[in-house]
Amino acid sequence: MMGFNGITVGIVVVLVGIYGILTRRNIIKMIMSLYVMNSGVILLFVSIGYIAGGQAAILEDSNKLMVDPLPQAVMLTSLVIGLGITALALALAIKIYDEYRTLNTKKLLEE
Amino acid sequence: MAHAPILIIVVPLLAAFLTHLTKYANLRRGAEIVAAAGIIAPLIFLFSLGKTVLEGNVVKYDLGGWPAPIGINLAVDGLSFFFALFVLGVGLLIVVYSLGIYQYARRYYSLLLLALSGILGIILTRDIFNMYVFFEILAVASYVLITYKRKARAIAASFKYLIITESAWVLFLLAIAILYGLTGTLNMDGIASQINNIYKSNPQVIYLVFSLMMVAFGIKCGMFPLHTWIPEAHSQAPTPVSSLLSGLILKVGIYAMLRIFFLFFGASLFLRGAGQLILYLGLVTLIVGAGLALVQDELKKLLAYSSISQIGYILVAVGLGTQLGLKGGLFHIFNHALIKSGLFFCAGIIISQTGFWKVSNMKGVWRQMPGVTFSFCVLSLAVIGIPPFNGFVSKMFILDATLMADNYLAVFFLFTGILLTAAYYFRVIQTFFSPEEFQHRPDFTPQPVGPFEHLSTYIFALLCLLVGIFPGIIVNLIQPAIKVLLP
Amino acid sequence: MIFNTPFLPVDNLSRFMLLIVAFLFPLIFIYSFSYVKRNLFRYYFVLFIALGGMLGVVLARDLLSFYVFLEVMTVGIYFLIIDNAKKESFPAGFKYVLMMFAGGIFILLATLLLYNLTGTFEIAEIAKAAKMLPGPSIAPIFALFAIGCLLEIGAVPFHIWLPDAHPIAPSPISALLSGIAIKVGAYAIIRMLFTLDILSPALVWIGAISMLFGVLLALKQTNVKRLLAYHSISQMGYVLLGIGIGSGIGIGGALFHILNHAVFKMLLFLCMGAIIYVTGERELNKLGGLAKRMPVTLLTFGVAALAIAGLPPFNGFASKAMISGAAAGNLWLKLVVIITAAGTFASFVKLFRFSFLGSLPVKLKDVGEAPALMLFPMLVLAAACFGLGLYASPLLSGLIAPAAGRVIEFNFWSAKLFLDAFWIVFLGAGIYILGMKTDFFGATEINFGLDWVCCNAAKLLERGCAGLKKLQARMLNAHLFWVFVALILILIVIR
Repeated sequence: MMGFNGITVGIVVVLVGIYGILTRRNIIKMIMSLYVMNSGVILLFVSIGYIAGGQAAILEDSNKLMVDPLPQAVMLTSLVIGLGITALALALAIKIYDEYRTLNTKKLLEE
Repeated sequence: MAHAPILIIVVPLLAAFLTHLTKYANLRRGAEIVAAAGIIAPLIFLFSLGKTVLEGNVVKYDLGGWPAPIGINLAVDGLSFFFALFVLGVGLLIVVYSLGIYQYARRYYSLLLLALSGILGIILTRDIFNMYVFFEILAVASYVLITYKRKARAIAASFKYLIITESAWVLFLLAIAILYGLTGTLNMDGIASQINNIYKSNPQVIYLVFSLMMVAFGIKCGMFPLHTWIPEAHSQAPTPVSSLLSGLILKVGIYAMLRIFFLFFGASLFLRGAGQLILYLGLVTLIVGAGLALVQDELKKLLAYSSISQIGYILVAVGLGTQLGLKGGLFHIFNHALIKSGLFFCAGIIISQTGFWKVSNMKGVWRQMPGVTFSFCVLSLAVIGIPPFNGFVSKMFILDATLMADNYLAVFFLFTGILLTAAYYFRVIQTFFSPEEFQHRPDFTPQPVGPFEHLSTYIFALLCLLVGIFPGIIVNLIQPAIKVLLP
Repeated sequence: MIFNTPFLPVDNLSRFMLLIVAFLFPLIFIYSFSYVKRNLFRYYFVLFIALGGMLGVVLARDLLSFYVFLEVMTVGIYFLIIDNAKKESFPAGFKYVLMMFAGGIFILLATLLLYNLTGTFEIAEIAKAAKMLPGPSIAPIFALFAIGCLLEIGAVPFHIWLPDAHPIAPSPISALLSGIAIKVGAYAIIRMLFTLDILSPALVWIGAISMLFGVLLALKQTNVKRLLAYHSISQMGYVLLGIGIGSGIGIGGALFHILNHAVFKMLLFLCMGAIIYVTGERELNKLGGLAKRMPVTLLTFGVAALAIAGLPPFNGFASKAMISGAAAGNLWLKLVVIITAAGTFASFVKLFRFSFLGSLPVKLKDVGEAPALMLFPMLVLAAACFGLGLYASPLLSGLIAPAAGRVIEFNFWSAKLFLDAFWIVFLGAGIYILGMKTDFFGATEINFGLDWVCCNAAKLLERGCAGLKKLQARMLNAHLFWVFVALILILIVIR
């Protein structure tokens, strides 16, 4: 399990994203970190279905072992969701900039 | 009807898109008609399933004919039926409230229907990734709805809500990934059957998955310390959206918690440690929510903190894991959806008429708006837990459940919680009955409030009274739900 | 649940309380016609809700209905207390409602515990099942129930709401409060004692402390209704004393005193209400010389004052005689009873002197008698004071003994009791003269004590919550920080 495979890289990416979202003050950077986290999990999920030496699921060769297609399908959905959320977040960020003239969370305090 | 489960989810979705098309149909109230139809139709489908479900059978449906564990399953059992029923009912009343306000046009109704469709999807699905997807649908709809009125604070609140929820939801996806890696299926029943084996061989992983899911659902339902997004989001949203958030979305988080924890981890595994954790977090949520509500001056923020506090009650009841506890918890979910929606509607009417958000400026409101003040009094008595309203019955069940479990610490905190709740609601009522008159802001004109808004508050107050006097009807709906969770 | 249990077969105790509610409520209703002039719809709406609650409380055959109607009554009375909507109404109403809810929850907890032990809410069933339960399990349940009821009664140390709620409420509502609302707590305690078939000696001491405390503080008051409120505390102390002693004479005396106190306290509040209505003044140092202007009020007040002091042949004499008869064995209790009675007499002499005797202030030179609709209930109540006292013996055997469920014999007309009354007058006069000489009847409000503790505790709580509010995360990163902290916390705990 340990070693330079998709799962560990995925976990590392998620951790990087968590670090980013906790420490960055710029909204755009937070959105980026969010998307990084999302990507990390997607990478992890797809790697779970990976079989070394397996064939891509859409090709038709019944002799070889297939890589698990379910995570890939599911992660396509997840990618699109992530896309939608990021788009919405960026739109909100633009609106925040219009209203508050700042993208710094330190200045965007609630009452 | 064979396709009823999928239609319950899909009809509001279709209606959401159809409301945009009514622009070309030249109907004056086209969007509202489509919206109402989009809610009433699933209700009819739900009732058609009602008889079989309430007898304890589960109505299963495979999407596209693909059986589990390959395809996505929907299933309507007692718990789903109960939740779907009041979600649709409250949704209908939200539409009724919005009817009077002209600003709410096609975009609003389509988003509302999208949100409702998302909620129904969460409630009816038996595939864990499907649940994730529907949660995201609901989330997107709610983020946009909060910012519907383009207020600056609302946009900031929505953004914070987005970041917090999505970062936790990524963790949920991680949990799904781990579960898939271990079990090879995304179907809830399939995973549930394998969890016990996995737990025996590798308990750490189960703990990790549990924690990740708990954080995800905790954010959605408002468990301490994950409740921090709620006050701003619920108070800055437009009023019907506040009641959607407080009344329905918080509850759907609890539904997910119930379903996943009782189904997956099983009643015995759950009760070992998780139940206690949820119980004590629930107590903390209760007290923190009530304590913070005590010092709020903005009315809607006070109601938002009150929601957090009431979710604490529900968490205490769920954490006990007993029959009586679940009865109290599920009943309180139902009651709180009614009460809090009604309270937000009253608050919305008062705010739109006086132009003030802060309670200290709303002095003597009862002279101008006696009906709304009356509804507010009735609803706050219900939420405090005063007979003969519905809040009393559910709180009594919860108290009895904690007494039977001999958990006297919980009893003490519940007691304190009731008194704190009474304290902050009566502060508001006192200000409403104050002899002084509130000063109109010079730059403010009261928006016209039609009969629909008042009507919806009266309907909620009346429902609270009726459910309080005849709780048996609702208890009969809850019994099948409890049987699902604790067979 | 409520609507499945048999509701109406009424036993004698309930019938007794029902008579009190049913006869006294219409008098308040009639009095309100003259007294209450604004917000009529709201006032009468809430008044009838309170009536419904009161009737339900005394008629309830099971504990859950009892609790439900108790809370309905509390909510109704809260909205009646704040009816005047003056600045002081709201803190007083707030205290009232919070303490009443607290009392209610204690009662609810006891009810639920009993339900868990016996499986039923019905009082008759619980009585049967209670015989088989071990003693140690019942005692804490009764203690919880009693604490709840003491909060409802306003006994020391739970009396804090009483002296604030009575003065600020409209006068008919003060009468309702003192006349009926605080009695339901005593009724509940008696009912629970009968059901569980136990005695409660602790109530004796609570009663004794309430008696002394109430009368001592009443002597110092200058606001007429606040004075009467402290007397309510004191008189309910009598009732608790009787209940605590638990003998037939004790319980009979307590029940009789519930009836009598309802009658004469209501009459006192209505008289004071008449004075306030006519003059607009509530403070003793602004009143005086009303004897000639308000003769009917003077007459009825005189009857009520003699009744509350316990002088024959009025009703107060009969019930106080029974209670002091029940306390006969214990020297300390006898002393408490005599001091309280003397103090009560002195206090009413003071009230009489400062409101009716003396010279009429210039401001009040045009006052006349109160309207007829207010005088009518007052006269009815005065006649009742007289009649209940004269017919004490048949009342005892016909009404009270069946209510108490036992045979009670008491001789009301013995010489010894008349002698006791004489001592009361003598000592009371002495206290009054002493008070006038030493200026004990000052207006300085007492700022120590439980009220101060409670109010400051509440302020402390609020400051704590405000501090909590400052801790709330305001920056987005802080929010997220909490999310991940929660994750780690849960991970740690779940192992």
